[in-house]
Amino acid sequence: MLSKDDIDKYLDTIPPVPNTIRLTLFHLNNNDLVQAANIAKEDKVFVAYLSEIVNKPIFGFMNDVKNVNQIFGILGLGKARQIVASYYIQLITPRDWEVFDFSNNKFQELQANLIIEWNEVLKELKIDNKNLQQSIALIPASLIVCEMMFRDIKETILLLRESKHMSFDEILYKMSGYRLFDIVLKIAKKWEFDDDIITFIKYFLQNKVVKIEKKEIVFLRLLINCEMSKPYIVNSGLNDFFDFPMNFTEEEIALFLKIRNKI
Amino acid sequence: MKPIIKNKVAIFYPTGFLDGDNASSIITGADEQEIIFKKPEAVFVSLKKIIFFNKKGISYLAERLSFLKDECMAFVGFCDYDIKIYNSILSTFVNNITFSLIEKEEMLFLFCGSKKLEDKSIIIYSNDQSQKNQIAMTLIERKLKVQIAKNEDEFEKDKKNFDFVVQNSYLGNIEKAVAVFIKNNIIIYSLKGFIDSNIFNTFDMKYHKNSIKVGFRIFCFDMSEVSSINIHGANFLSKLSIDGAEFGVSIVVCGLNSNKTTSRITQDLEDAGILMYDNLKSFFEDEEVVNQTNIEAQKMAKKTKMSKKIISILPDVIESTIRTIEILSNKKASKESVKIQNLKSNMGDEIVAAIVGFYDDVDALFLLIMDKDDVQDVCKILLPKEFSVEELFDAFSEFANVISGKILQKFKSKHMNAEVTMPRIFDKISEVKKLESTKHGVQTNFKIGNKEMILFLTK
Repeated sequence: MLSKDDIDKYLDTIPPVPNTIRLTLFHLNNNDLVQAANIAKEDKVFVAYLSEIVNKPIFGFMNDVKNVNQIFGILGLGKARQIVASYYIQLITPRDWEVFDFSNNKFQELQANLIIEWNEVLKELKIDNKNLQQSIALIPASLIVCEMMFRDIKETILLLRESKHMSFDEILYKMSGYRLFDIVLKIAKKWEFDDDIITFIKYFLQNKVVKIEKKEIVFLRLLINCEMSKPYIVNSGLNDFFDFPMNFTEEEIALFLKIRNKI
Repeated sequence: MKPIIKNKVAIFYPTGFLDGDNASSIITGADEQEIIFKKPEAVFVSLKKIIFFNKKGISYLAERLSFLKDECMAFVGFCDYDIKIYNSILSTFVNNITFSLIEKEEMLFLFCGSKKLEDKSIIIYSNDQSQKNQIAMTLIERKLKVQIAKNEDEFEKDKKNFDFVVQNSYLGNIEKAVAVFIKNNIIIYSLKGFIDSNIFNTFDMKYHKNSIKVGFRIFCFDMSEVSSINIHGANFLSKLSIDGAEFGVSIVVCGLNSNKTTSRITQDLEDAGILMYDNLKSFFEDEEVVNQTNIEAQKMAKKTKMSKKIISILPDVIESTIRTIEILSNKKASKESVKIQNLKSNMGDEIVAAIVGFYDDVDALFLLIMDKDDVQDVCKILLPKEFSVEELFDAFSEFANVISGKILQKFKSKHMNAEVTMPRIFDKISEVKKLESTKHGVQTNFKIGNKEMILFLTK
């Protein structure tokens, strides 16, 4: 049985964001890269995470980079903010994945891909908004929520998916009355993410047709769909996790493919 | 990516972007092995959630589907697409389409699978005359009510009056080995072409045996599309009839006339206890025979006894059932009583029962019974907001399916090799009690919230 109470209990166990990380993001939001790097250095776990993620192939560094000042300097403000926000998610990442055939290494690969690709999309759409940049960090949190919520009832969930082909979100909603985005938003609020980010994620995760002026939501949905069709995700069973309406125009798809080819 | 197999049709549901990089993760070698083992009647890839595909991606899938078509004689192709994708696939594979295209997933069951759709009306329209005829012939063979629109005007005017509109679909060569239908609790196998020793390879014997286990007693072979049958084909049918006799199974053959076989072979088939009819219609008109055969089946079925094995698996079955019911219904489930007895119920005659057979290492029948009015409450998660009685039965069937799947996992964790049949649904307790298997077994009464449910486990 999975009830609202179980979910609320899970939310209570989520740790607060460490002060050093909160301060790092504060300085990054004030465009102070040097101060941000100096503070970040104090959190050894964060430094290890930072070094692991930026050395993923998609970041394209020729040599292994380890120094925080150097990393922040190369990344620039936008990507540095995204990585700090992504680290928040690391706080709730399970040690081992049980429901899905996934790992923390693959999860970091997903985070890295999304950061780079989302930056390219925003650049192409000529959108310069630090909240929008950071919002990408929160989306993978829904995968973790799903893993954590379903691990005790894993077999039943997978059987339900097989026999009824219900989405994970639908199963969660029918069982508990919560949707995945309700839980992700609760986590975002707990971590005091900016209201704009929360609103954006809310629009993004809702299974509704989005008005055409919300171009960034359309492209984020394309980006997530593209990532979800890659073999490392398909093989993990996470492939049809997000259930968005498929209302993309040919022009949007063509532009997205153009952006993707640049990466 | 695991396909969803339902009503003997396997469907893959890829999402997002389909290209040469990810196509091989959609139908993997392991998936192919599973499909070859399970022998579905059809294998399709749904394009509903595909945003973009390129030639490399779709060609790879078409190649794998063709492989599966050859390996298991399955009906294969793509479904769930719009007109742009339809035209794009047709132009990509000009003159070399070895697969079929079916516009919507629900229309797939018009062409294959065991789902009963004979009361539905269908209108067909296509610019391609040969496709139009092929589609119409295939559907008529499946006993469906078909109207072919003469022209586009007529089609546009009339289509709103039909349950299904077949317009942007394309049939590659359909060479199904044995198609299966279910009508009035009688399983109908439709055979085609020349019936020889190859039938031993193409006939799904596992499906047949399990259908017997879950209570089907009459199996009808429709031979109206058969060109001829030789002694090996006839031996196969005789063997089925003789092997099935101990379970009270009757084999019926329809549409086999003197043009298709010799009088000697016909005589041999009759000697093996096979009932011969001119066609399906004359068989179903002979209600007396159908009913008599049913009664005879009950009488002839062997009385079964509980085995130690069944008693030994009982705790696992009860535990898995309770846990799954609690998860699915979001209600507290508790065991009220466990007794070895014949099936006893305080519910009225209007019930919903699902019977499922386990086989291989575990040989058992698993029966779940609930009052009809209580089913919707317990199966809420599996039901749409508004539903028909048919959908309610389907939901209970899924409910039993999930529970039996869970029990299966429990067996497998204890290294017991077991498989499970599809559930057969009954809607009257009097019908359930006619089954010989319900004369002796372990009955567990459950409470789910304040609703009652019976689990009856027998051999």
